[in-house]
Amino acid sequence: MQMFDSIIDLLPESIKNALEGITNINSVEEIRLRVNRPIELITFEKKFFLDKTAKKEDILHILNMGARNSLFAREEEIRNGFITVKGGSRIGFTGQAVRLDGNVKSLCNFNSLNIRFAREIKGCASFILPYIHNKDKLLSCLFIAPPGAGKTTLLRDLTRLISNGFDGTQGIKTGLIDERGEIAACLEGIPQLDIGLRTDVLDNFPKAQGVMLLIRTMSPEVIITDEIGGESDYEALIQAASCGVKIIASAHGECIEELLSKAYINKIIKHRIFDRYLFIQRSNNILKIKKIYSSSLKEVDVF
Amino acid sequence: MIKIFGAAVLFTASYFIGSTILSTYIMRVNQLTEYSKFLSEIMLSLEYRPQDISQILSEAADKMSQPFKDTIKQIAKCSFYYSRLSEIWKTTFLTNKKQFAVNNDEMSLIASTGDVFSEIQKEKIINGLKLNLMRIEDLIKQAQADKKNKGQLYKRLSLLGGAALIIIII
Repeated sequence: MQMFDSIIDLLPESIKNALEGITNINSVEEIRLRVNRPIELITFEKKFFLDKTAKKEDILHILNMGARNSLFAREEEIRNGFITVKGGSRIGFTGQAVRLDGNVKSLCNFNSLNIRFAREIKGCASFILPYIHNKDKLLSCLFIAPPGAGKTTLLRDLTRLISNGFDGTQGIKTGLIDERGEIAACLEGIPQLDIGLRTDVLDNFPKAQGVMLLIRTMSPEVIITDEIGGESDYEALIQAASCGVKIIASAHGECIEELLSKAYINKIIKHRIFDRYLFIQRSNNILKIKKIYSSSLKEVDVF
Repeated sequence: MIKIFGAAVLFTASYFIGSTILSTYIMRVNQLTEYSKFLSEIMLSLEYRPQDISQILSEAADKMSQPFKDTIKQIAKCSFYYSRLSEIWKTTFLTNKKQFAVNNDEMSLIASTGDVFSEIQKEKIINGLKLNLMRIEDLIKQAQADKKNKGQLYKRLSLLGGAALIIIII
């Protein structure tokens, strides 16, 4: 609820008023604004439009409030098409590119906006724990699920559990590379969400640089990061694995074939960086394991 | 005896009136100079340490004297709660206008500085601030000339007025 309130604070009065009559407001996952079109709400149960048309000013208002009137200080995030706001929720947007020497330098004239609510569900990763251990040893795992399935929520809770310890096992030194600022939801460097007692966070840090920095400075036993898939991620993970650090990460995808079709994830699989590939799905708002594969891509029984 | 005492009072009063008028001109120059330093400070922060505007303003305000200090701190605080920094900037400066020694033209330039922060690109903000700084520097030159000419003139006039009154009374 607190998370929801922090997002509501960013909205212009007219949108706040339009949301007042919504009964299942706590189940809202996304609010989408498109200039001159009705505002769309996506809840756990359904998608529907509000009787309110979004204006260009509404989008700018939300972005300014989200960036605390400091969009200029978020150039990198703007170039990537999203900003992370207080509480860890993410505001994605589209607009006109500002180009310099053929590269996109920034965005302007924003025309669409998507507010994705960050959710902290403590205990939601408990069902994963039996699959990520082998004789009390933590395994390197890659969680795969389609966008919006709850990978980040799962990773956050898993970070907390691994860091604090669970079922009698002792917590371990955990390094978190929160490139998009969604897992720990740091505000001025301080995590806003519970990521465990032994977790060291690199906020808004590129994974490639973050992995080596963490290994050199904090000697983590496990490094947790989200949404891998690029060339630099592959190189960073190779480095981490060669240092003996366990890795827990997430990636977009729905099946093993899709994963293999991605060039760098394919390389990661070939290098056997991960001991387990866990395909996650969400049905009736509950996270479940769809399939598990071993490092050699043999299917592991889900009990 | 009463006449001598009255003359002394008149002379002192005219001296203070003259000094007050002159000090207004001096304060105007000082405030414009301080504002130009503030703009330079902001530009440096933007260039080398891009952080939230509230933080940049608060840090710069700490180095300033009143009434800038409170006004800018007020803007920094409001930037958390309102979406348009340019409006907050303008409203806050215009509300506190009476605390400043600058004239209407100078105040309207100071109050419009906030407009530059509506830009998304850092470079554009810095360019906007540079333009503001150039205009402020022109205003400083004008204010210095006013201080030299008008300030001294009003001081002399008030002393002469006082002296004239003393002669009439005596």
